[in-house]
Amino acid sequence: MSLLFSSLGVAFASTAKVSEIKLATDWPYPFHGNPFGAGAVGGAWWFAFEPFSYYIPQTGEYIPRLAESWKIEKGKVTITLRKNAKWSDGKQFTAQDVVSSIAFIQAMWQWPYEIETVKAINNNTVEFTLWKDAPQSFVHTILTDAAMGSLAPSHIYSKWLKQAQEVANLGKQIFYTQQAGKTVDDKTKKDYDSKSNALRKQINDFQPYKQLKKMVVVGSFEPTKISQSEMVLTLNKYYWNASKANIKRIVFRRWSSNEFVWASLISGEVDAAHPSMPKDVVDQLQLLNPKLKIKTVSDLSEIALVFNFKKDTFKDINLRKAIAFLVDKAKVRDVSVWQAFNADNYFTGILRSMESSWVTADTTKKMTQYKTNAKTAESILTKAGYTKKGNQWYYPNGKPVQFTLSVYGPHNDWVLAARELTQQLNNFGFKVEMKLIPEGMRDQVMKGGDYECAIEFGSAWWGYANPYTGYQRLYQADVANITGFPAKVKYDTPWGKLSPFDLTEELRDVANNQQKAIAVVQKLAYITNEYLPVVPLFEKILPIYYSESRITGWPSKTDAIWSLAPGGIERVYNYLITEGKLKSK
Amino acid sequence: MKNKSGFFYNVIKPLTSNKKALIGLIITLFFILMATIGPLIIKLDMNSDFANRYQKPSLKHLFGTDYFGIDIFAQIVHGSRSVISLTLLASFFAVTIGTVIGILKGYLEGFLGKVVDAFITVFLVIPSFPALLILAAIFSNTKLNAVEVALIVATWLWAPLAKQVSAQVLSIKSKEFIESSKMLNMGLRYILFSDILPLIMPYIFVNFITQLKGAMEFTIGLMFLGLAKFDSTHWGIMLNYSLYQAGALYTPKGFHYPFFIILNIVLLIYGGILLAQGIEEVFNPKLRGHE
Repeated sequence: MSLLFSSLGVAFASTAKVSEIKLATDWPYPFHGNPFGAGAVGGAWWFAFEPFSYYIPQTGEYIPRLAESWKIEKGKVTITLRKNAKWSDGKQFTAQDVVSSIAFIQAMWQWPYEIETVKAINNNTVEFTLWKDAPQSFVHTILTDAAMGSLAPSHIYSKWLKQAQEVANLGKQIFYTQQAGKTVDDKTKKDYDSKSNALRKQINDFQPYKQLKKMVVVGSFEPTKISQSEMVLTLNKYYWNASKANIKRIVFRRWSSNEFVWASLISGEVDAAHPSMPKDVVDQLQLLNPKLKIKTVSDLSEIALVFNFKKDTFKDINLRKAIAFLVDKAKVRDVSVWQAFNADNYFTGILRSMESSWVTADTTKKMTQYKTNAKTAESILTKAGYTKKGNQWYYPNGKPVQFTLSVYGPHNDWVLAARELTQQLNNFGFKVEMKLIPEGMRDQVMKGGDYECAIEFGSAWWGYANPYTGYQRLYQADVANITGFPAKVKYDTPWGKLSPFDLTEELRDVANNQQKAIAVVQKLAYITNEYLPVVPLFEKILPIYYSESRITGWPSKTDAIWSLAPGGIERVYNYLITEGKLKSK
Repeated sequence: MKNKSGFFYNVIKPLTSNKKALIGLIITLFFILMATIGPLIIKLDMNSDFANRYQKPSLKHLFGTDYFGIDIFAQIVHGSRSVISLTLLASFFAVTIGTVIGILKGYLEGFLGKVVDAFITVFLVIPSFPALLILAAIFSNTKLNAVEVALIVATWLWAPLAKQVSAQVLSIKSKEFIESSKMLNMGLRYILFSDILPLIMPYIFVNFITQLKGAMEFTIGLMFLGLAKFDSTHWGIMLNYSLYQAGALYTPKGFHYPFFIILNIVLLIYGGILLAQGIEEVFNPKLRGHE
């Protein structure tokens, strides 16, 4: 009899309800558990790997995570790691793990070469020395990027460490030489290529989840059961804050499509998600599931009309200005993302939600205000020698103003924006055709310059929420690369002739000093507004839907923690779970 | 005595006295009229009016308004032109290619027959979506006209028909009258196109109609791949907007939006199928029950 009861006890224990939260995401399948492999670890990223700290954009506060504290000096960052941090196999997390992770990301990703050296001072102290030209703002990346400390546990990746360090050192040597304007000799290049390829092959083939039967993590949750449709993460019992967590399991449903997530939210099949959702669907959703709440936060990015400056179509600023005046941005926003923030009437490169902190009233007085007005657009074009016959505008050389507006097909909200924009431009008298970029070909089309104008992200402040990030994107990096805007040209400004490229460099060096940064931002805001590298349409928002039917403890809508969501919403969930705030009913 | 020969007595009368053919003909003619003179009568205003989205069907908006607040009926009428022209052209090309190659495969023997068979098999097994992606990359900078788009669509539709036609030909070619033609040295072209083709014509026509659905789907695919000119009023694109972009099925307000689009697509295809079946019944002696 006692045997019978004890076996029943085991049965009951095994079926006891584990407190869990259900979310939606994507992951590679078959799951390999290798952060350097294809698709990495999908949505498990921010649960499996932990940064030294979380940065809260709304308050400017850094919340320590894997680090206990840190010291920032010129060109150097010293981090003291948590003494109670452990890997999910019980091994101690040490400074050597950070050294290992940096070597592997530099070798595998050719980034971040801004870190010249990383040294383990002792078991819990690690010292980063920055490259002499690294922007001071890179410190933020070290503190907040989850890849920095915990990607490659030294006790698992040690057999490749020497190889990785060698490749990373060669990569840095090549990078620094090129940055100094010197040529790298062929022998070094060949040496790098062969060593890098050899390492890459071995690391890409490594499948810890299959070969070691588990993926060792330092973060709060480790992947334990993965199928095509579901990924289960289980609480890492060695996690430094595990005792506080009330939720012991995360169940991810495959984010196969937005419609699937809508249906899952309506039925209560997932507890939180952030899909783009039309207004009427949201109304219906709240009617059917009143326990579902919505919080919207800025995505720290704007959706914009971008121009290809490598082609002649939009080289004339008068045409770009006319477009800036004629577009009814509110209408575009309504049909595209109804919850988004309207773009301002000034196109400064500063996000609308941040503008009051960065652009002074004195500067706005000097700038053109792009209030929707078709007559102003007509007058600009007429003055510039354009003519209109019937309902068609012609360039001063007599050619019709006609172009194609490209948009990435799988991004529903962008397609809706493009459709509206095409209609408005055609109504005005341009001949515009809309073209969809097929799934998976966005990079190829945009980077290859196979477009005339397109819907894309304009300014974005992901990572380091600072104007520098946005201007770097517009004039030196992502947007500059796809548009070819002549950023090194000096433009007329009230402060004399200035180049936005040089100003962005200047801003990089003072980004951490708000007063000095504001002075540079005024000039960049003026150039951006007057010379229009892009025409912003609206500031993107992240709508977060969370349900109180199974999970309690969600923060109030004004809580600053929500502003951590852009660029990795799982950080918000992770923080709330591991601080013991979220509980399952 | 009245002369009972001629087009009216041989074609029109039998067709109009067959119920299926008559209904199919009426539906098909309705859509052809919609595509030809509809856009001249019904005005289309594509300016969005978000505040008036999802208006219910009324006298002002026969099919209601869509997610953008635009009249659905007007869009259906204007979109019918590209839907019907593109799908008819694509189906026509697919059926022509499939028939010619199918008859050849069925008639030819030996090495040549094997080559044609392999050719058909290649097109049967190529997965169409990756192939379309490759085509999109090749033609990414080319503006294709309707005929070129229809030809691309037909490329992925003809092979199953060719296989079926070849099977039909195989069963026909051993008949006595074919043997007679051979003995009379009537020539390959005569045997293929005068002896065999008329016998499989009804079958081909039914296939032509059933290809419409596939052609419509492929056309939408090409628009989404950027190969065909993007047409917001194409029924397939309208359906895509309603289901995937606007989520009309997730709100009772928007139910009419996909409903009327689907209704028109189904009616067009159903009308075509009825007409095809009717024609087969009228002209295939085996199915002509009334004589």
